[in-house]
Amino acid sequence: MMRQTITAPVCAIECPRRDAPRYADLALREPAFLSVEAVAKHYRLPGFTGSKVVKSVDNITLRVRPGEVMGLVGESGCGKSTFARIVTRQTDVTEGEVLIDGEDWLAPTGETLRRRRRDVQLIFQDPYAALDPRMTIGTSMGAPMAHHGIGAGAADRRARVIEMLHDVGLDLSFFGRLPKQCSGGQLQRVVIGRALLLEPKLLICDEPTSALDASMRTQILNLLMDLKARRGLTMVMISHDLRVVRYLCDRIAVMYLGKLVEIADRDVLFESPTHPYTKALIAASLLDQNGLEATDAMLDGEPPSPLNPPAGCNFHTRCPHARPDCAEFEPGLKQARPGQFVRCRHWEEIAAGPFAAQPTSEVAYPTPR
Amino acid sequence: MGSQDKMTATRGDPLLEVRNLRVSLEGDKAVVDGLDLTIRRREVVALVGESGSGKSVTALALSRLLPDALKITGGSIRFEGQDIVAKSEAELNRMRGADISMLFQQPQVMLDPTSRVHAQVAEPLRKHRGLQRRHAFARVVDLLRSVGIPDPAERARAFSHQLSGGMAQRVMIAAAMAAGPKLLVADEPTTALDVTVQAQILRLLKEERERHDLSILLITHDLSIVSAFADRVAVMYAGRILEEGPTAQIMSEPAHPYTRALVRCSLLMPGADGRLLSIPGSGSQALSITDGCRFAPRCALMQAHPGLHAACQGREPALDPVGRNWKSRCHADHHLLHEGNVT
Amino acid sequence: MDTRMTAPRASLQDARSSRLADAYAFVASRHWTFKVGSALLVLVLAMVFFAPWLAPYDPGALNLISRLRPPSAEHWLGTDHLGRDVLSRLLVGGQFTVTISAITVVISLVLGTLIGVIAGRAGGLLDEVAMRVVDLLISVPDVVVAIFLIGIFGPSYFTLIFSLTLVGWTPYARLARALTKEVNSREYIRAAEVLGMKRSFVIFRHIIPNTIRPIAAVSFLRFGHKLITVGGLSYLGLGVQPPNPDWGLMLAEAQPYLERAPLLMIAPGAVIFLAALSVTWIGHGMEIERRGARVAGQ
Repeated sequence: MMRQTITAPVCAIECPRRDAPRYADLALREPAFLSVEAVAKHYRLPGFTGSKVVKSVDNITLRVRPGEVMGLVGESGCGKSTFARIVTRQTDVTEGEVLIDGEDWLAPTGETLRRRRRDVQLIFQDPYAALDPRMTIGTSMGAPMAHHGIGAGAADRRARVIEMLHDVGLDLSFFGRLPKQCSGGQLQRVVIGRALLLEPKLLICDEPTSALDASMRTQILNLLMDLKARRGLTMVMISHDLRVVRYLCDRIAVMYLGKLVEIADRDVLFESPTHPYTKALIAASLLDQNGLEATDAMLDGEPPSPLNPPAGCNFHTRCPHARPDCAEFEPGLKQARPGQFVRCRHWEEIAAGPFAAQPTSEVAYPTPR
Repeated sequence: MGSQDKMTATRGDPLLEVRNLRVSLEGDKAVVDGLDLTIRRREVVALVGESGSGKSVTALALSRLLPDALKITGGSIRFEGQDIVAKSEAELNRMRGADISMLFQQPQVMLDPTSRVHAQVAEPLRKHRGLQRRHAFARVVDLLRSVGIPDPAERARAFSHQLSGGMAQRVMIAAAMAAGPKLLVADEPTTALDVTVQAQILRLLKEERERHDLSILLITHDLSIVSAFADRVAVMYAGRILEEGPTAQIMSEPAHPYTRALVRCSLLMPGADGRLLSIPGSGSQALSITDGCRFAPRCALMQAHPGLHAACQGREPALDPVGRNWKSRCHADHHLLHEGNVT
Repeated sequence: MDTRMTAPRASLQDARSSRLADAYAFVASRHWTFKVGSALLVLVLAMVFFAPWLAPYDPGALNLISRLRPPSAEHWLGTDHLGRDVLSRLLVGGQFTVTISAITVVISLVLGTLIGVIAGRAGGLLDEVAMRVVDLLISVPDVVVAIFLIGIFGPSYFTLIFSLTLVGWTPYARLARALTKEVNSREYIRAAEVLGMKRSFVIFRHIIPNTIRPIAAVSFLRFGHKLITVGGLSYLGLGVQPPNPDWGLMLAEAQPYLERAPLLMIAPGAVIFLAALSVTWIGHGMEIERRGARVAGQ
């Protein structure tokens, strides 16, 4: 099976990613901006034989540095959308804490909460659904500002909206348009602009490009990249598409059935993915470079139901390298290399073993100086 | 095994030949406008394009399953030499499942949630092969096993709504293959599935192709699976094929500016400045262009070479050969594309 | 997946005129019943509104000499048992029926919608309680309540309207709540929450405009029902009192003379029927799917 290697030129000197923060491990030298500590979200489902608990998010600890773009990847049912809902306070947590810039983010309620919401904004997957179809773009973008007391009056807010339209690459004519008169890519820019007008400190992007065509996808990613460079926004980029995350993110966390199975710096993750699930995900996402026969991409069976997670390591039922003790003991998240944490008891043996081929993920991305 | 070897090993007689196909919406607007496509035996041909390109409509037209508002208004579709545009509904029903099968994006939508799995899979067997219920059940279990469903006998008795996405798609593949078709038209079969499940389903399709001498028309917007699975690629834009040729060639050094842009956009490959390439403008008005190339308003190659303006905006290029089994619909010499001054 | 054709609109003005154009297209594309119903309703409303000027005679003018005359040049619909011009009584009589029905519907609509939207938004205990109250009251026919209360307090317009709205708000509440729940689950409401929009804004600018259409359709249907109810109550003597003209009352007064002058009963009956039919058709037409499937061109 011939591997297609598609080479791309190495980034030239003026690359906006150059000064992305680098760091060594979870004991960060700088304080974390977004701190998700041992957060769990359990849903209780009534059942005939007693109620069942679905652990949608199970003991997640994740720390995002200021100005960093953290990627969160996983397939359906892994809990990444629940994570987004927790951080944007659309749902409460069963356990754990969330701190933003040192402050308890889960504490505010009522009017206080409403006012603080401007600090954490969300970009949705479907831009058509995220906007009221009966409101013009101008109104949709301008109204939130009025509710937070941003801008010195209607005229000032209108001016801000127009400036933001320009910043996201749309022309003035969009002010009076209705959502149905715009393309998906254009609308997603509107959604991003609307969020940015509130001057948030943290931007959560929940699959922002999944519903878009290839050419619109790249426009939005370029826009997000620009925002990162110009505004130093801290972002959490949630996606099932490893390509997107590879382009935009500094660090990547991989989720499976509610748990984090690997966290690593972007380059480390793609050069030496350690957790078997990560390898499978990379190989399956980059089929053009790995082909259909890649052995490390072969996962058996279906993702287990969240109602019945496997005992021990929750991945062992599908893991090509599963050992007998994997079903008994749940591994913790341990450091594998500088900048890389893995939830696997046998990662060293697997890495050194005969079937330790790494999936290919070739594109020479700029290495920050 | 190099892709060249693969090509000669699978070259066979043409199974499906589409010439100048036109499909129109309510009589006037053509959503598929002069489509030429050839699929040979044992060949996997990918039809790629963005939304609005007409690729799904083409798939439906080929299996004659177009909704009422869309009608074939021109061209011919020949399956094994016979024109199927002219066939009656009864004849087409005999063909569906036995000669041409379809696989859709949302398997759960296609399966009747209130009936059991074996009833659905057995349907083509009973219709085309006339199997009795008992024999049909045994055959169904075999089929389910061959598509990699664990505990096939038990699953056969389950209800369709109890299946997960990947499982449901496997069942659909079993049903599609039950009567032994020669051509499988798969319309975005893995788009709705998780990426690891997608890899499994594609591997399964590959096995089916090998086992049953099957030809596959794979409709997708995802170029990475095209690269891994298809022998040939046809790139569709605004109802027409812009480029068609061997996968390896098209993915690495395409002849058409749109293909080049699409590959780079799809695979998220950054350019020299670290930014991702994007195709300017929007394809929504492309269908209404009658003079000249439909891609011209967005074409970077045309922008970079003013000498091409007259030709590109005046006359629509024909799908001309640019190499062995390789065609492109472009006025410019494709070597211009790789000269380096085109973004 | 994006398949929309974008026709750029250059300004807010164009967006507004596009909405006008949409409204016209809406009416033009409806089922024929909608168009006929609308035309009829306009006719009825014009008749009612302009009645004082259109009526050729004073509806209360007695003329005991020319009683029960058939239609003629002087009296287009003849005269009733007291010599009063039927046409004039018909025109003026509409005013009471239509006005009372309209007021009842409007009050029920506003009250019911507010309760339904608030219950739908709030959820939880408030929602449960409100809906159980609705379940209880919705099974009580408003006519019965009206008869009961008017029997106690005597016939007056206030009592009539009050008794009809007492249970009349319930269908609106139920519908509004269901619609609110549905709209509530939409993504742009989630977005509004995350954006920190005020709750009142969400209700009045997001939820209500998006639920108006079905509620409007139902209100037309209910209006027709109310016309008949009020007419019926007047017929029973519980509505408009003689000597004031009213369609229902005219029906009652015409009963003894059914054989001699059937027109006395047919005229008001026909008008009630047509008025109710017109609004019912409008409501119905608002719900029929637009002719011609919209094909998502892929």
